[in-house]
Amino acid sequence: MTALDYVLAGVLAVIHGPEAFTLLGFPVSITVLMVVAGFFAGIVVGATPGLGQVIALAISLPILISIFGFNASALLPVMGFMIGIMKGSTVGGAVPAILFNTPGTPDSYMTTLDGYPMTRNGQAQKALRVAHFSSVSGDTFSDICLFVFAPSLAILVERYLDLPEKTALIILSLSFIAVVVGRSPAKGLAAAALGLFFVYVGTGEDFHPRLSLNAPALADGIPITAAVIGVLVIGSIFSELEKLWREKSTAGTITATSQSGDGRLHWTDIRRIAPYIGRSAVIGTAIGALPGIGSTLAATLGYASGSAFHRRRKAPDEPDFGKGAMQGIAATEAANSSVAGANLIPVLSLGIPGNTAAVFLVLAADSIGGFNPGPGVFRFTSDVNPELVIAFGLFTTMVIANILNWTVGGVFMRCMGIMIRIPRQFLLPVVLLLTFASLYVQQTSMAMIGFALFFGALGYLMIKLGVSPLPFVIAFVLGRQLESTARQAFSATGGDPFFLFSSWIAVTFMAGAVAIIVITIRRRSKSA
Amino acid sequence: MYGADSRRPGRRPMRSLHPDTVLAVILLAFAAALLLFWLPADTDTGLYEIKRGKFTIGDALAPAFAGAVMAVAGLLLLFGPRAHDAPKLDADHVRFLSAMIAIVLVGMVLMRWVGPAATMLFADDDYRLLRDTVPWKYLGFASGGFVIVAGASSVVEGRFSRRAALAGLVAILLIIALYDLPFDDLLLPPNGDV
Repeated sequence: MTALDYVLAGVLAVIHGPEAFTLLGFPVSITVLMVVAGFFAGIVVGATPGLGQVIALAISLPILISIFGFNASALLPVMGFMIGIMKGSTVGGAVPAILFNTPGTPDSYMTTLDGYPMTRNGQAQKALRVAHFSSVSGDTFSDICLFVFAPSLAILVERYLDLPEKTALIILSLSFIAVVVGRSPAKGLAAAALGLFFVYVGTGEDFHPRLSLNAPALADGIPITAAVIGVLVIGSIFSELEKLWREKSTAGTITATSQSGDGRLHWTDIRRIAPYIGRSAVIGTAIGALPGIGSTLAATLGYASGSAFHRRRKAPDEPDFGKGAMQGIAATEAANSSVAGANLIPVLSLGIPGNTAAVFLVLAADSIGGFNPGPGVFRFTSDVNPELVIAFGLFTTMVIANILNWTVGGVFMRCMGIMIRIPRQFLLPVVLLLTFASLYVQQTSMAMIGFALFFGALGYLMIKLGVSPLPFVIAFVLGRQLESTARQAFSATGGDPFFLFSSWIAVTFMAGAVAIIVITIRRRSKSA
Repeated sequence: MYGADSRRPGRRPMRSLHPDTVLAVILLAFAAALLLFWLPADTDTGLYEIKRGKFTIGDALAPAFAGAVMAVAGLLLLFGPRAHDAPKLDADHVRFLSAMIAIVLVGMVLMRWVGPAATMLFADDDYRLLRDTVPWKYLGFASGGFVIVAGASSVVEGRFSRRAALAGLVAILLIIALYDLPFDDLLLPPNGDV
């Protein structure tokens, strides 16, 4: 098969997959239906403060697997739904930030700086339209980069990287994620070390389950979903509830918000915000392609870059950044949305999840089977490579979600202002129970809830101590792969203890792993 | 929480420990315990082993690597630069987390035992035989789930309210409608354990 055949096969796998129903005589495939459902669900959760794509992905994964089962035909519908959620929640996150000064996600914080002042000036609808247009533009740009660069990068990786180099690359990625994410490199390293420690409990190749303390519950290892969802979701829910508890204790009440304003986006507005969208889309895509660099940093850099540009270019009658400039919303939303597609570049080409949403895509692939994200996916063989067909199928689902985003996403997004009316002190406990139930139905064991509670408490403590949970999660997900690749590399090099330094590429990666730690620590020391 | 000042007369006030120092000491102690005691006692193979005349990586190497990284992180925290506004735990954090853990644990106990206890008191059959029968199969989940949702809402609000109870009821009905009614093969807690 040629490359074009694979692209066509991927598109057809989505469009002509198993039929869900017929619309006006045209069959609608189950995958397309799931992308649409995921997209609208994503906007709803993105627009609901306290929820967000991580919680939505965590809850939907077991439901989707129970519906579609553990076979390869389940991959596209399940992952299509998850991609829909990722796309929808990215645009939905701007709604509470603009209308109610409450960022639905951390990435939307900078959106509040200009979005909420626009709302107070009676321009809420215009602010929402600017956010939607900027977000979709940035997202589309980053998806195009993903489609072009992921296969090329994967082919390069497969050609030049053997087992020692792959082991060194995982170590480099872990050290990169550990020290760059969050404010403290040392705390990031500690989080990564904890993630590695917990993933090695109860596993190994020997008959005796290591570090299990002879406890039967630990003998089979710690379930990955319980650990990941515990640290990320339960920890965040506890943290949000605690903030509300403190607000109630100090202010006596939990503040509610109200909506106002109206406005349209004209061609002149688009011309004014286009330069800001372009700059932020490039910044967000470049940052998103690096594993572990979150969209929050992209939003911050996009906003800072846009602010500097605005000072030089703004008309005298235009407001400054931070005082209701629509360019501020455009710069932030284009940057944080353009991270989403680019973040899948390291997942699909290297098998290394770069952010939490990507972790759930890896979890879905791992649970269902038949698709192992990594350089092996992009083998353009003459015989059919089913994983490559699925990869192009995933790209097709992203295009469908983008089309939805351009057409009906904005209208649906603006209808979501109502979600903010559900008080968070009731919504979050419901989400907590829903998360526990979702974990239970996957493995039908109360131990899952116990593990999730333990890791939820750990995640809460990490958040309160300023330790980012992301290095923990990425280390937990990559830990077993690191060990198995190292074992294979050690055997393949004839038991060479210096196998990590057996080629110049591996040496470069290892030097990079140390250098990124040293450089980051020195920079933070100077700025402290 | 860390190093509260001593204000008794005649004693110099104790210097409060920086939160990073406390975290570093915890990390170093855990890494030392892992590398020196736990790992040697709870793995059967060492850092490497010889199988059929060939060197292979043992089960202890990967956790030892994790422990070593943890120790490095601890040392960096101990001797690295200190931020004046470093986040730290206070008594309220611990109190709130304890309350949440207690609520979830009570909810878990109710989930696990209310159904079997109810069948023992009011039914002729064992719970295992009735775990796919309404209302028995919902008793544990409903009682435990209600306590978790209403309890967590009440802690945040500082009082038990009708709205918290309503949230608990809605959550239970929503989850039953989501998982149990449409899917025969999905089991709500605790019906997979009993």
